[in-house]
Amino acid sequence: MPRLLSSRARCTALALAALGVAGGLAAEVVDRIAAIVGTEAITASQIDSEMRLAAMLNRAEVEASPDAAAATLRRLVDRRLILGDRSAEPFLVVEPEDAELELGSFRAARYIGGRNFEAALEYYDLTAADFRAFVQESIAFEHYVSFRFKTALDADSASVEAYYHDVYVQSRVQRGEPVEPLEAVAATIAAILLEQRANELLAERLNELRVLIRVEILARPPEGAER
Amino acid sequence: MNRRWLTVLALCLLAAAPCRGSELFGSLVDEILFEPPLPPALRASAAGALAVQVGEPLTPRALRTSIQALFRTGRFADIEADAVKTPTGSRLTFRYKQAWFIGEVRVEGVPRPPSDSELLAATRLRLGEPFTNERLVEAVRSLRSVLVQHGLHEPLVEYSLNEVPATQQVDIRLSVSSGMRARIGTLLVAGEQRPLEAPEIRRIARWKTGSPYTQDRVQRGIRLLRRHFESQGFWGSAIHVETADYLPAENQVTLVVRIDRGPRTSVRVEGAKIGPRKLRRHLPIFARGAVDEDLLVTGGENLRNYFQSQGYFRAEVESEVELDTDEEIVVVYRVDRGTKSRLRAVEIEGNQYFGRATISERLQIDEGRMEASSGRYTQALFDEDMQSIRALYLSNGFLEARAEGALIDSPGGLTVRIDIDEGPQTFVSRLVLSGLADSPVDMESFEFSAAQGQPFSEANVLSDRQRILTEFYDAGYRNVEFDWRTEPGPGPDQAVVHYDIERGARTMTGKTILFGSRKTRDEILQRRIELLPGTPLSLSRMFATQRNLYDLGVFSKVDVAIQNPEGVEDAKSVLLHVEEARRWAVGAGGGAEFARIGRNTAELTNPAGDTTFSPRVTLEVTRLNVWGKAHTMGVRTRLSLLQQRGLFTYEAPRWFDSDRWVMTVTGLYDTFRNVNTFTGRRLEGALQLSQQLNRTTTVLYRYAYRRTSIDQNTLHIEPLLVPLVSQPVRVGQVSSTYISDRRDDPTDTTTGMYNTVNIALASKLLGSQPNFARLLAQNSTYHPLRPRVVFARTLQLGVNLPWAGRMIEGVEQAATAGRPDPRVPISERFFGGGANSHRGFPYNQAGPRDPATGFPLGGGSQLLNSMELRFPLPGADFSGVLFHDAGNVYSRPGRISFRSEQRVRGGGEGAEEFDFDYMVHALGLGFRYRTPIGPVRFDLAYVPNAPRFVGFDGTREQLLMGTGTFREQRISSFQLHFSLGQTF
Repeated sequence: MPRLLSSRARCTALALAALGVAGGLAAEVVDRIAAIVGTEAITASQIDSEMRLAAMLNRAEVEASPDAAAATLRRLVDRRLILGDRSAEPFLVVEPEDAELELGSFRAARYIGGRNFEAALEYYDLTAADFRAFVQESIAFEHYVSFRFKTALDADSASVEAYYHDVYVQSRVQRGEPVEPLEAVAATIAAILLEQRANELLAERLNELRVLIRVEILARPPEGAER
Repeated sequence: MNRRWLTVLALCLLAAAPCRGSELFGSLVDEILFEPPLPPALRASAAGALAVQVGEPLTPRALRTSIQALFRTGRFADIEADAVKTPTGSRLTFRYKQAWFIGEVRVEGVPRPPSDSELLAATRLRLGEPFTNERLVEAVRSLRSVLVQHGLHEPLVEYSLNEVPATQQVDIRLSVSSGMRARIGTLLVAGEQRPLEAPEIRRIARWKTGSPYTQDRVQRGIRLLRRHFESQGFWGSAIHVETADYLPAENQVTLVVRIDRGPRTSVRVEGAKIGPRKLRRHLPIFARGAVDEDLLVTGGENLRNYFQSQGYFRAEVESEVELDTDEEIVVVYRVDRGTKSRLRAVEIEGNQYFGRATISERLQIDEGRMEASSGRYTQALFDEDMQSIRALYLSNGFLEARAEGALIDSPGGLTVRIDIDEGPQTFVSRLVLSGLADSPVDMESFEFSAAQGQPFSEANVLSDRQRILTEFYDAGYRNVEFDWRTEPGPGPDQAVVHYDIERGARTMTGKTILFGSRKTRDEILQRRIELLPGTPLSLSRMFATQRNLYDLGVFSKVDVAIQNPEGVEDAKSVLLHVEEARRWAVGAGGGAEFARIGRNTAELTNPAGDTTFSPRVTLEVTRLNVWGKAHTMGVRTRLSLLQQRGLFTYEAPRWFDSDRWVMTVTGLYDTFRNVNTFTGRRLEGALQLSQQLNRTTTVLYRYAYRRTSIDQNTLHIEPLLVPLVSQPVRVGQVSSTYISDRRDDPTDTTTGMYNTVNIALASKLLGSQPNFARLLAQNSTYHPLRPRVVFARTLQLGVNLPWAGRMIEGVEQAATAGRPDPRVPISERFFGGGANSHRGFPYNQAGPRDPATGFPLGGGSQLLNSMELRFPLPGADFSGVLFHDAGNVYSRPGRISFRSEQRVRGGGEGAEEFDFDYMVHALGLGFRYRTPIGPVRFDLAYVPNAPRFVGFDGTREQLLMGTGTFREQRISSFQLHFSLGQTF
């Protein structure tokens, strides 16, 4: 390989490179786009917030593992797809009062008299605005799923009976618990079946949306990683 | 999403984003930078999106909001925020990759088919949308798929990208090496039922071995097969190409076809006769290839309507499936036509608000006005008419209006009786508008259809809605929403109407980016753009700009789009992508004329003209966009036995920078024989300015200079006058023409008016030898009497007024003899007669004639009045005409006469001299057949007072020697004309 630089010049270049690295180290990445869903960006800080919110809801420690981060990002992408789809139904509006009401119920149920809620937020390094936004999005998500997938669904008696015999009775017997008559549990089973079907429809719609809407993960995998 | 990749990403994020734990959060922001520095075009978008501000604490939420808002502008593809500690706080840097947008897309190297538009559509790379590598990969994949469908199975697609930083656009060029097109190879038939074997399928579908494989050929073959089965009564055949496997070694496609011809369907009609073609037209089971209850009922209704339209108003039709097996279906329609009747009257009762005329003009059913006519009535038309009446009342506030009718027997036929119950009329007591505070759209001057005091109807509200939305769209409110509601008013039958308008965000025009033009001058294009930076982004102005650019006539394609359509920006860039058309166009054609025109031979025997056949060749060369100024230059030549003509034109539209002005320069060389008295040669140069005053009115200003010479060997007049008349003459002339055209369809007018006035002046001051003025005026009107029945009339008047001239000798003598004024050269006189003029004459045979030879001399004035009654004939494309033409070409303006008798004066030496200054009448009958280029016309005229004249049997030499014979002749009393387009 021909020598393109003199030794002095190489020393200077190395010194400059070292300075550059030092300068680079001084700058800190404080946030970035992690993924794109249509015209919306999901930031790294959103993933972080979401993980903290999940931990707070579960009263657990924040799990700072790559798997947890990946799962959180997947969840955020799905939620963004669904909320984008919901914008096609402009009457599905979530008023701020609805969110306040839901937040109040949550505080009352989880933190007696609302006490310790602020402490919990502080513990998980969250703000009330973070939590309110999360509640509002959750309500919007629920509204959409109910409207889009649950309104037209109905569990027929044959399905309820099949579930009763195939799942309910067997699980009860296996666990040695008393088996209730069909009439007593039919409504509960119907609700379970509706929920299952709604989840299936939601998954199908998500698959459609993933094709229709641009979803892109922006961070590049290291060299050699499988695409 | 790949799970492993997501995990890798998550690792990266965890490692790279200390985020919440950063000590920098909470510090005051000293400075905000972008890396690379923002170009000017992005600064406004970025500034509006930032939630973090200098001098305020850095918070995760503000930072996230900023990144998301920046991304939402659509101008950034990736953003990372870095912060560094400073002595007084922190410095924030947004490192970004800018987004790119799709610019010009070209697909090259593909033989047709597929077409260019099909290829571009396949790429789904739409102008102005965000460009990503994924879209490019998808475009290449989709392009390959289309190529394979067209038999190009081994295409090599390469792309090259050209980034234009100034506009953030990427021009994409897709180069295709398509290879050889595959050929049709083996043909296999799938399925157990094989109504046709492979060789027969090949023959019917025209899928010969070795013929090129294209999607069009496959689809055409399927259509041919389906038609084959239909001809045998199998109307529901299902034919599919199951697989089309490509064999690279042979470059052939193996087709596997499955055919299910379905059952044979036959229809029998009992109780009435109807032809098979009409039956197929009226019964949907044929078109759909299926038999079900709905289709049977619809078919029965169609048949009933058909018989009712024939006058069997009480017709009833029942259907039955007589046989229904896998092999055969037999359908029977039983028709009870009843007796043929006449709809004598349509009675309307109960109408008070609207008069009978207002209601009647909305009705399709119609009484038979003549004994032979049944009138028009079918149940379907009747039902539609009842709906029309209800809609009329509803739209005028009669919200409970009802219209019911019945067909009742009456003496001599049937009567339709329509009973209308109008009910109360509801008025708008108040119109309340909301959402218009600080609106830039001025609604004060709006005349709302649902204004206070107006009748209330949903139709009025929808009309207002359309106008309001259009106004707001034009003001840049792309997401404006309109809602309306009503509530009871203070009085009975009153309503308060509320219009709620949500404007949404206003979008302005950023830049207008015009690209793709290579030759056209920029200033020409810029003048056509109606969207200026800083003005509201108006869709109507966008499309007006597109139309303006098309109107230049130099572009084969003009695409208009908004760049970054989904991005949230206050101002949007508008893209105008143009493709210039080929600048050279060459056309050639041939044809023939067959008419009584006369060839102007040496024979003087037949002054009234011979029937002549003249083949014709035309050649045309046009150059578009001359000097990049959207001007057009062309040369047209026309060669035939009757005419040799070369015409050069240079047309400059938008003269004086105005759409209303057109400048045209023409140069003409013409050898003409359209008057059989002589053969002339004309050289002419002309400059014309055309000014369009409004949609219907145009004024032409013209200066023409021409030199006309006449071949004296062809001049069939008194030999002593030949040297004088055949002298070349130069005419310099200014003229102005006023044209007012209010016709609904110039090729086949049914209503309107057409007026022209042409005034011309030829003077020595303009370089002319003769001095004369000319006035030529036409007034035509068209009056619809009934559907497809039109009364049309036209009056044409023309006069030449000479005032001095070198050919002054003999003026007085000619005047007394009823000959044209010799001061006006023969080539400048009026000639008339023929298919588009007075139909009582052959072509250009009207007016004064030479006393020695009997050939037309042309006249100093002309008057023609034509009247036509145009009426329909059986068959949608046929119509008939009764006409009357009256008028003539007269020797002088003062000799225009309404006398219908030709006078005879005693000539010298005992010869009779005929006077041609009288009005010739022609009565006739014509037929028209409608075609896409106008009606084909056939007219037969009878002339009760056809002119007589003295002609000469013999040659010119015999005339000079005085050895020929003079013979009294006359124009035939029957004239036949065949032409294209209406007479006027």
